[in-house]
Amino acid sequence: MLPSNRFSRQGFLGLAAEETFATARIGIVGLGGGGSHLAQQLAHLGFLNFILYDGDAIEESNLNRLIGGTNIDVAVATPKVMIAERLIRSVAAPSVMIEQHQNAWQDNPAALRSCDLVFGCVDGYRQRWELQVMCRRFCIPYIDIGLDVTNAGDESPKMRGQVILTVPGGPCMRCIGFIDDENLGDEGRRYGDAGIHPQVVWANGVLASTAVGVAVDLLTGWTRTVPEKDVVYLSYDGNTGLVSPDKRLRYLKSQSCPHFRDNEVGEPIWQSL
Amino acid sequence: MKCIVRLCRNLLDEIHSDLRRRHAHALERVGFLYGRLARAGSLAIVVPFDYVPVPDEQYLLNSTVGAMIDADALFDAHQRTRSTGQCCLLVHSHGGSGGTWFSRTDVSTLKRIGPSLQRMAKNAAHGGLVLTSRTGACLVWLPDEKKPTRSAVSIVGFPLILDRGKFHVA
Repeated sequence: MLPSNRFSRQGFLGLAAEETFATARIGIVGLGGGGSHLAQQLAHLGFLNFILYDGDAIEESNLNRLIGGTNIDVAVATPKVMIAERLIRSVAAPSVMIEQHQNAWQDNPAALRSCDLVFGCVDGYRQRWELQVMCRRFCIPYIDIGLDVTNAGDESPKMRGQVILTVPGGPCMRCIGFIDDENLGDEGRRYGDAGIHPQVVWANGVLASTAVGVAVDLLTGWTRTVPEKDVVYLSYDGNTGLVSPDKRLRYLKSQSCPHFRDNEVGEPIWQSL
Repeated sequence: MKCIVRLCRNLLDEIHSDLRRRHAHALERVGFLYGRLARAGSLAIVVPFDYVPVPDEQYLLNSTVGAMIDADALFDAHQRTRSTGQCCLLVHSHGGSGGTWFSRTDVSTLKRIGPSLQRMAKNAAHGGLVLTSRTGACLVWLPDEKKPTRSAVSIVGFPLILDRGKFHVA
């Protein structure tokens, strides 16, 4: 497919990029501060197949960061997935296909299984792990973004975020030390103690933009580089504005994953003992 | 029903390294790929997870096609499929790097093996996968379907290859 004029400025991504974007089925779980940025940017790039999940409606406290949300939406409590759909349609080609789910992905997982790439923009480690497990079982790359602000006594609050891409067959979020039993069991204390789920638009934008860049490279290979350890783990320091490979990657010993066995794929099989 | 095969790049590399090995008289090696079938609405998803090479001694000389696998190789594949209920795909490579499709001989072989495996595990998907270095093409017999389906193939790794063949999944 020849690049159309619409995408003439992104021709460096390769001749196949436009067709790849038009074909790829993208799942976004969570259409708040991070997910709304993702939806907008992916639509600009030419992605045409979206599966959107978010059970919430917009509230006034979301207006500080939810891209596309308006005062009128708050007044009528528009569901976040509807705002995202409106945002995508305002930019994408008319042929765009959007399937929206105003519920948790676990209530209708089939649509998410059909995706070629899943973005998780969820709160908490447990939610992230559940998405990771689903993506491994159905052989889907998973990109996670998240932001956390913690109080540090007399010092300024510390803003930290992450963009993680894990691919089946490679290290998972446990392998790289992002998720462990401690934070799964005690996430309420550790996640966001500078207020309830602290989020700001600029940091969400940095993380979402970085994640989109990671996704585009995954789909097009335009940088002609393969992550050294078959995983992408970028850390964002919101206090300095730096995005860099997380230092924990240095200590990753193996590129294989001991947490997901090769044959643990497809629908879980339940057997009585 | 539409179908997609999602093949992990690690597994693809393992397959290629086996299929590249020279054989005494077979110009082309084959192997069997086992996986599970899942559903996502009207989409069937095959996720392979285990590749089993055909041993050297199970290739027979054949005057029509040069070489072919023997009954033991087919028996082993049928036996495993029957006992596990897994999907089974006969795999070989056409070399090169672009798109590919099955030869007339390939299709004729698959038309015998596909339905036969279907009788062993009727709730799974069976057929053939032909590879190039970059991507592949797949023909599968889905549960309760007499005609084979041309499946899309995704190579899941860096980069992520989405080969849709002639259809779009969405």
